[in-house]
Amino acid sequence: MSKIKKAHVTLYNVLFTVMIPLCVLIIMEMLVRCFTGVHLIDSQVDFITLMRRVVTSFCFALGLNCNLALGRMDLSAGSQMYLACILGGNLAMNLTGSLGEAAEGIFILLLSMLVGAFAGALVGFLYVKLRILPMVLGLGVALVYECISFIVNNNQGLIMYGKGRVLSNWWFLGITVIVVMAVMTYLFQYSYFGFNRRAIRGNQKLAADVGINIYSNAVVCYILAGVLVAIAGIFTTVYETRLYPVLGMSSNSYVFVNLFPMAVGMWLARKTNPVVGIFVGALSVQLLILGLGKFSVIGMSSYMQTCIRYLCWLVFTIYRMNEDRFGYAKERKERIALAKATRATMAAAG
Amino acid sequence: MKKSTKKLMALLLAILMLVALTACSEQKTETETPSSEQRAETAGSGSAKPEEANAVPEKSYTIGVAEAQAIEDVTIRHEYYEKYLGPLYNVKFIFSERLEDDNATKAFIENCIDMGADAIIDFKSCNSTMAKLCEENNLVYVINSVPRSTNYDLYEGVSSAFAGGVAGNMPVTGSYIADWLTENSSEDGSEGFLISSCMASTGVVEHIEITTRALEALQKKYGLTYTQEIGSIVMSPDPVIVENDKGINIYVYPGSPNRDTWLPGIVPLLTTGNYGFFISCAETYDTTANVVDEVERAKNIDIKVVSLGAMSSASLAFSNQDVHGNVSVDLVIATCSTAQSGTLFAVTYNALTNGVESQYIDGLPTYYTVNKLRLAGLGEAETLKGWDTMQTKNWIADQEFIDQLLIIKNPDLDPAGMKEFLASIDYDAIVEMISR
Amino acid sequence: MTNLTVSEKKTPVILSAKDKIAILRANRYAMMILPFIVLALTVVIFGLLTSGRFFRTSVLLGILSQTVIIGTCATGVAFIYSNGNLDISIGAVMGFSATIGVLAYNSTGSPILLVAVSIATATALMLFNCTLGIVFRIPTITVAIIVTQIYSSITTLMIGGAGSIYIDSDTGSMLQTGPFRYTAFFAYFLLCIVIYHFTSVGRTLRFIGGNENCAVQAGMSRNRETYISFLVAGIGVGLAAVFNVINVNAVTLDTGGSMGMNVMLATVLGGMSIFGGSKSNCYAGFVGALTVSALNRGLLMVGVPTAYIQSIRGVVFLILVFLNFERQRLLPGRDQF
Repeated sequence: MSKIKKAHVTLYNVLFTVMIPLCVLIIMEMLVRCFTGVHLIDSQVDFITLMRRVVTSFCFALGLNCNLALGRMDLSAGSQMYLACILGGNLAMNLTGSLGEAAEGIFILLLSMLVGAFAGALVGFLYVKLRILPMVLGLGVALVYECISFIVNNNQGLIMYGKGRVLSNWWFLGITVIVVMAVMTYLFQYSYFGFNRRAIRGNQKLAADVGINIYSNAVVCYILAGVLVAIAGIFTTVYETRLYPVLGMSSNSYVFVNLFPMAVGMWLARKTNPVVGIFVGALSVQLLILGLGKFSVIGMSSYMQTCIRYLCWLVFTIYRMNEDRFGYAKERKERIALAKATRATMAAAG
Repeated sequence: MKKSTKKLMALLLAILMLVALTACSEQKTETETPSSEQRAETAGSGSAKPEEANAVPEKSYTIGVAEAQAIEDVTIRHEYYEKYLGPLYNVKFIFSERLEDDNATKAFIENCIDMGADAIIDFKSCNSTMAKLCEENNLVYVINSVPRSTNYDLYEGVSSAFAGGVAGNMPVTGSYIADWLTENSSEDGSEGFLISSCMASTGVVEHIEITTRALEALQKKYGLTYTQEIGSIVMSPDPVIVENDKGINIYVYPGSPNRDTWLPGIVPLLTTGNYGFFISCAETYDTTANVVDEVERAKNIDIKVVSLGAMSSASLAFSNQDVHGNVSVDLVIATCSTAQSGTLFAVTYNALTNGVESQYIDGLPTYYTVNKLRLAGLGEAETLKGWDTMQTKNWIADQEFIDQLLIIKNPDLDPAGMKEFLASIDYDAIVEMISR
Repeated sequence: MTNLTVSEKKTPVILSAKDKIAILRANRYAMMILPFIVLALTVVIFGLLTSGRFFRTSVLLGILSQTVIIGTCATGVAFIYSNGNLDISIGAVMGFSATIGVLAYNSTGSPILLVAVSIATATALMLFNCTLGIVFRIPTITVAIIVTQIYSSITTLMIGGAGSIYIDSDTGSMLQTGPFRYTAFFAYFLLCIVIYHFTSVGRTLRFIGGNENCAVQAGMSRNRETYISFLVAGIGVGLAAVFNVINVNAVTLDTGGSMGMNVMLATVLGGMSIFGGSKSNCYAGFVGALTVSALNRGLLMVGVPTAYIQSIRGVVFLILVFLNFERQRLLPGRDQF
């Protein structure tokens, strides 16, 4: 491909990637303004709320993507988040003593990430050793992790009321996103781990035959997923000040809720890369949710908002699974037109 | 390579275990007074009290406790029941997991029946289906609910196993909030009022009472005429913009704060900056603390927050200041966990020792209400700090409190007497109790 | 013919534990009866630990009673799992159909209508899920995740502010304690066993689940079989919804909450892969549900704190899954999205 054409393609991909959240923003702004009279992003609070939700959704969706892209649906991701935040957060608070507030917040985040890494590593280790289907393994591990999260700290979970406020600052959120994007882009796109991961994604058997260590790659994927969901969990907890432990596999709800941004991200990833794609996907979905939330002002119930959100996901999924049909229909039309033109020419000549 | 990986894993896991054991071990707080459990232990050995008063009853009972949630109050209750009341009164407890629905409650009760339970304290379902199951198996049934739409039949005597219900004193709670609202709202009501009615629409009496009293207080203060009946506003499962003739901004937002959709629904409302008062029927001041703070900073307004709460976190809430230098919560209605749990235990124990009819008034089951505590400042919250917490295990409803509710200790005691005693337990009475 | 010398005499082969487990797992019949052995062991162990209290008729009947709802769902959903699909929306479908059924009963007073409407609604919803998956080529698990929220929201709006809708306790008791419940359950269970194991429907489903390409090349219609599997599952979910309602005389906002996950858990515990294949069977869910119920009750009777019960369940689950399924040479996985 010539350099000019390559530049055109790159520009097209960038524009396409930017257009999606921009379109969502414009549409939601118009609808919100029309029906409620307020702007979609009305104040700094909306902006910070959006940023926070985007960061948590992005991190969680990226964590899911670490394994899902390779055919491993990890249903224990939610329970890993609970374990990482509750165990790591409480450990950090017990160990920090009287550190400054900023340092305490960062320490809580780092220790939760470490515990998340351990939690993910254990799941990865079990997966590699036991060779149980990931979804099934996730179910069993979720039961155990939820229980541990429940027992730690006398069933009170993680209480961050009045603590870790630095984690709520918009600039900290921005730095976190940039760091996560940079690190994950390097890992997924430019490191040997990433190359191997993409090779395994193509064909596991071939990759194994070629000499790639599919087992260590799987464990690293689980570790990364554990770290990312821990980050998501801590930011959510800081905002809501509490994270109560759950039982009965209720932690799966986090997995299902974040599949929408992940699906949008994977679709957009064709134009850029998975990390950027998932970030843009998370941004688009959170703009939709922010806009729907504004309709509370005119009395729309949360259940109606949920219905609309999932209908949007359904429509998107229908489009995504059938977009080849649109291309096929267009090509078919062109072929028929060409055939007719050819026949007409032949008739005219003969 | 494999061996070194294994060694590394083992070392890392060992370090993690060590750190976890160190950090998660209970830190004993230095208190001047011993905990209630320690006092209970020493009371029996070498104290001056007569033996009969402290004698552990010979007959043993087993009580199943069906839990609806997995929150701090539940943990406190488990510790209080199992480690404090259990040894004192020779009672064994069986606790459920967080019960998802009525089917799970029924399964738990059936399990308890097989384990030889004598009574069930139900925090989850509280209806006649469970009462009938207990009746068929000769169990006593006590609930954590006053009469409401889903269990009126229980209080009309539909089941002979039902001994009564215990809950917070709703009218008093409602009046605390109504009075505070009347005192602290402006003359023209221009600040706007956001009321989270939580589960009022599903019939939770406390939430109905608070929402109703708040709307009535506003109606009275500003001479409002609502376009809808207060009852229909309160019971609405959908958000309601409460239209009135004076154009005062009042919004009622329903929904359980335990659901994921609650906070995302409240945030856009607070973010508008149209509500200077936020009244919540549940313990939500900590969940909404950050969003309230952010809105106050962004819109340069002061949002006054009223909420139910826990005694353990109330002093922290009053210590935090918002951007205007005001406390971040203005009124907390706190539950005295052990008083409520202890009363439930007492009603159950009386039914076991003296029969279910001993808890009836005029031949029908009745309900008992426990006053909640009005905390309007740091001083009041600090006075109760360290009581009814897992860390200190100092229980407000100690043996002396419980004995006053038990027929075996007071043979002349009747339900009216119990109600009278409970009505006297308010903030001042508790302060006096704990100072002793 | 050579004569064996002393040095060539056979030495006894000593098998390690790993080898023994491998031989056992390679034996098809051993894998079939393993879930039953586990169930029997569970009952025996808890019986011994509780000094025989666990063997009481009331306990065993109680376990059966608690299993009926999950067992019915799991039996029907086994058809869906068999041909490689996944549907976790059954909890939401159950809640939705129970609500419609209760509303129908309260308007007419007819218990027959309660049953018929619940089953019809559940079947219609499951077929709708199937149609979305087939017509729009969406993986069934994606459909399930999306429609779960939509159905739950609609159910919440239908139940409204009360949070629950009751039926009169006399009807509930009559259906619960009378012959209806067990008759309906065992009739449905036997019907599914016959269809699955003794007709071409079951064979086709397992063939498709095992090797879809081969099945399609052999002339089997994937779409037709998928519709049949969802139809059978819909009937089961509808019946389970009725059992749920008559158990507590009400439908609430929590009805059917985590049924999808519980059914998956029970199915796997019963020895069946949730991704189907030739080794699938339709009684695995029921056996697994019995095991879970026995485990829960046994642990409670032994006095294990409730906080630990779930983790023990999880560990037992993982061990049984490890024993039940063949260890693959490479890492198992499946594209879901």
